[in-house]
Amino acid sequence: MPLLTIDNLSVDFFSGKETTNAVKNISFNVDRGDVVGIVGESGSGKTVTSLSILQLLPSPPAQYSSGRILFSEGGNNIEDLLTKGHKELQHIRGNKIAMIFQEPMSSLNPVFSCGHQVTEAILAHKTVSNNQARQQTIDWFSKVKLSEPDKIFHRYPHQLSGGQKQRVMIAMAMSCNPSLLICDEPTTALDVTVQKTILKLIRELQQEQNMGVIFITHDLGVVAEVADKVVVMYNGEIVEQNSVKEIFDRPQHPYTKALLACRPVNHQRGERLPVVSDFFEKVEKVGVRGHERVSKPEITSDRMIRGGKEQQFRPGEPVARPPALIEVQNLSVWFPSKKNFFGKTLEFVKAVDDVSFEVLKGETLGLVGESGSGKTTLGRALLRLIDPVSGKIIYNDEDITAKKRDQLKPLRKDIQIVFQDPYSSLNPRITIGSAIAEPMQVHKIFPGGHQRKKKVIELLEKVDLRPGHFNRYPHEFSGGQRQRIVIARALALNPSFLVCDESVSALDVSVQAQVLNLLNDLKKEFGFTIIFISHDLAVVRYISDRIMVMNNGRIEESGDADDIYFNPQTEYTKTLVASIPKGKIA
Amino acid sequence: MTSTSYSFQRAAWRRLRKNKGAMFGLIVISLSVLVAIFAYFISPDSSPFANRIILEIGRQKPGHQQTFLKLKKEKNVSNPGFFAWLISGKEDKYYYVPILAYQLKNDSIIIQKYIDEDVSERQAFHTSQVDSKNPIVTKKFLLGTDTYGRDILSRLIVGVRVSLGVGMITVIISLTIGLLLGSLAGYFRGRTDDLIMWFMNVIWSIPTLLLVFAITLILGKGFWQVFVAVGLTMWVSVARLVRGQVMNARELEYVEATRALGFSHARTIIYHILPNIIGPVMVIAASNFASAIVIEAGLSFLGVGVQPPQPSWGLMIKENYNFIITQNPMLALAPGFAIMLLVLAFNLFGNGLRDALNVRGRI
Repeated sequence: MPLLTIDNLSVDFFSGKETTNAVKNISFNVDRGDVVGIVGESGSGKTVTSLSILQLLPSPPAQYSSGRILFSEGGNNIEDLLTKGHKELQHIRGNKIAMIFQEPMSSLNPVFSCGHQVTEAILAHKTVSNNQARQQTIDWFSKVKLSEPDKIFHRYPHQLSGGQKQRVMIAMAMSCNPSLLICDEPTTALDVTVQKTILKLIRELQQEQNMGVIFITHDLGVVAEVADKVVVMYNGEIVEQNSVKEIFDRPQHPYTKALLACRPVNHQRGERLPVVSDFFEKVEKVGVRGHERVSKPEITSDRMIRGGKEQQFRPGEPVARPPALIEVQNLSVWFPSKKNFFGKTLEFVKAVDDVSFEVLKGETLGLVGESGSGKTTLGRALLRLIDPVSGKIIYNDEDITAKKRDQLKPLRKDIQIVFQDPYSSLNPRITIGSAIAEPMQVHKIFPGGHQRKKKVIELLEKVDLRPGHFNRYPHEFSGGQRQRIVIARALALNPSFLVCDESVSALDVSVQAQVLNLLNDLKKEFGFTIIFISHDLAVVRYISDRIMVMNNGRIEESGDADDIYFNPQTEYTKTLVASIPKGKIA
Repeated sequence: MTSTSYSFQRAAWRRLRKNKGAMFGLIVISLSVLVAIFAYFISPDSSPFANRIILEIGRQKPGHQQTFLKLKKEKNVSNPGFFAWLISGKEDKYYYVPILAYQLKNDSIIIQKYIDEDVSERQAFHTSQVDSKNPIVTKKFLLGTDTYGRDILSRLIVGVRVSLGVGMITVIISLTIGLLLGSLAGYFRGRTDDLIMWFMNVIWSIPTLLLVFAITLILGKGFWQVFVAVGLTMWVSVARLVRGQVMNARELEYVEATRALGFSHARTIIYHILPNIIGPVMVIAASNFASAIVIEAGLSFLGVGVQPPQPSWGLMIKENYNFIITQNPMLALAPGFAIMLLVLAFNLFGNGLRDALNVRGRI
C-alpha cells in the first residue's frame, strides 16, 4: 500500500450558477521515499490538488465531487482523508502531512520570533515540555543548515533573507516528523543560487526521514533536479505520469513535449521557440485564452533573425562597431537608509554603485543579477524614473541626467519600459484600446481619434491580438496576453529603446516562449534597442547579444552572451550559471 | 473570461443587488430623495416650511381628526407657479378655524369654534368670507400635532430636505477638498505631504462641535451655514483615506508606466489613480453622509443649526423632547425614528458598496 493514493479525484468550484472543474478524475500514488513532482502551468489544477489532500480549500465554493484520497502511514490502517472531520484533520495536518508554501515572506507571522513559531508547532502536536520543544527547534534549525541556530531562534522573520525564511518554514514543516511533505512551489520566489541549496536540502531531508514528498512546480528544470516521478497536469487533468527519466527522454503527450521544448535553455540565441500550439495539431483549443500564437512552421535560423550584426561581435573581424545609443558613465543611485533627528541622511544603500557601460544601437543587452543586485534600479534610472546621485547617462549624445522634468517629454517617446507584473501594469479601469491610444494622444502623434484607433488596431495585430479586443478590460485577458498589450502600449510611441524589466518572469514557460518570440519578431521589424533585465540567466542568454552581470550594485562581468554563459570568468557568475536548473538528468 | 465585455460598474451593481441590506438602504434613500423633491406635493400641509400654526389643536395624539372652516385671508394670496410650488410650497389662502359644529343660514355660516377642551365659542361669518366651494373640511393628523398645532407628518416630510441637503452638500464639499488635498499629499509626498498633513492634523484636533460653533459665529446661524460648517470639518477623514490610497496606487506599475510614457501629473492623478481608488472613497462618502445627518440633527438640537420655522428633524426633537414622558411621545419619537432610519439606510448602503466595489475580490 503506497503512502498516499489519490484515486479518481475531482474538485469543482461553484460560483453563482457556473461550475468550474478545477481537477478532473486524477489518480496517482506517492510512496515512502519518493519525490513526486507535479508540473503544470498556472490554472492547471496542481495547487488545488495539493490543497485538497488536507482539505485546505474553502468549501464552498470548492466541492469534492468524486474520488478518494487514501493515506496510510505505515502501509496498513488506510484512512480516506476526504471523509475526515475537522478534528481528525487537525491531528493529521502538520503532524503526519506537512506543507511548505511558495511565499516565505508571508507564511511566517511577523510579530513572533522564528523559534517561537516552530516551537509552537511542535507543542501543538507533541506532548513535550517547553524546554524540549525549544531544544528540538534548535536541532531542526541546524538540520536545515541555518548558521547560528541559537541566534536565528530569537530573530524575527523580517531580519532573515528569503532563503533563510524558507529554511525556517522547512524546519517547521519537518519538526513533527511528517511522513508526507507537500511543497507548493517552494523555490519560485527565491534566487537561483538559493533555490539550488533549498532543493538539495529538501532532497537530503527526504532521504534521511524516508518521507514521501509531493513537489509542485511550474518549472520542469526544477523537477529534474529533485523528483523521482513526474505528474504532468494540464487543464485539471493528468496528461502524463512517469519516472522523471522517461518523461525527459521519451515524453509521450504533446503537452509534455511542448513544455520540454519551449524552455529557452535548450535553444540557440534568437532561434524561434516552439510553443504549445505547435504540438497540439490544431485539435485542442487551448483553454479559453482566445487565439494563441501559431508560429511559422520553418524554424528561422539564428543568423537570419539577428541580421547581419551578429558578426560584429566576433573576434578578429574588422567590422565597424555600431554607434553607442546609450552611454552610462559612473552612474550611482543611492537610497537613504538611516537618517538623523534633523532628517539628514547618515547612511545610504548603494543600489547602483559607480556603473559604466554602453548599449550599442540595435543590440539586445541582457542585465542579470539576483534580487537586490540593483538591476531594476539601474533600469529605472535609465528612464529617469529614479534620479541618480551622480554620473551621466548619455543618450544620442545628450546627457539626460541634466534634463529637467518638463524637458524629458520628448525623451519619453523614445525610451519605453515593459514591466514585470502583467497584472498590475495595466490600469484596470481603462479598456486596452484606450490604454494603447492614450500615449499617442498625450504626445500628439496622430491628430484624430480615428487615425489613432487604426494605429491601435494595427498594433494589436502586431502583438497577435484581435481588433475585437479593443474595447475589452485588462481583467479579461490572461497574463501572456496582458504582457503583449503592455508591449503594444510601449510600441505605440515607436520608441528606439526599450527596457524590459523582468518582463517574462511572471509568465508560464509556454507563454514566456510566445512573448520572447514576439519580442524577437518586433525587434526585427522595428529595429529598436533592448535592455533585457532578468534574474533568469537562461532567458537572458537566449534573447541577448551581450550580457552584463550585476552583483551588489556593481557590474561583475560583461561580454558576449554565449561567452558569459558557457565560459564565465568571475566566481559569482560561475555560481550563478551552475545554479540554473538545466532540465537534464544528471 | 466572458464573451461579452462588461464594465466594473455593472459587475459591482450585480454584487450590490445581491446584498439585501444594501438594497434596503438604497430603496430607503431613493424614497427619501423622491419625498424630498416632491415634499410640498406629498405633505398634507403644503404651506412653506409646513408651518400652518393652529394653536387651538396643539399637541394632539396621532390619528387626531378635526373639522375646519376655511376662512379667507384678508390679503390676496396668488397661486404660485409649478416650480415655486415644488421648491417652497404655496402659502395658504385660508385660515383654518377648528370647529365643533356648524350651521348654514342663508348667506351666513355659524360655527362653534373649538378653543380648548370643553371651551368653545360661537362665531358667524358671511359666505363671502369663507371658501366658496367647500368651506368645511375634515383633516386627519396621522402623526399628531406639535405645540403650535402643526402637522408632524408634514414637518417630517419637509424636514427630509434638510437632512438630505446637509448630507449631500457636506459630502460634495468634503469630497472636493479631501480628494484634492489627499491626492496632492499622497502623490507628491515630501514637503507637500508634510504641509498638508500638518494642516489636517490641526483641523483634526479641533472638536467638530467647536469648529462648527466657530464657523457659525463667523457666518451666522442658519441653513446654509450648517452645510458649510459640517463640510469643512468632514474633509479630513476623506483626505486621509485618499492620501493612503494614492500612496498605494502610485507604487503600482501602471502608474509608474504613465511616468515612463510621459503623462502629466494631472493626467496620471485624474485618469489613472482616482478612478481606481473611487471604491473606498464612495464608501467613506456614504458613511460621511450618514454622520452629516446626525451632526446636523445634533446642531439643530443645540440651536445652532437650522432655524425655526424651517423644519429639521433635530429641531423637531428639541422642540418636543420634554413631552416624551408626559403626554405625547410621538412628537419627538417620530423625527428620532426618521433620523435613525435614514442613517441606517446610508450605513447599510455604504457597507454594501464596500463589498460590491471591492475590486480585489473580482480579479
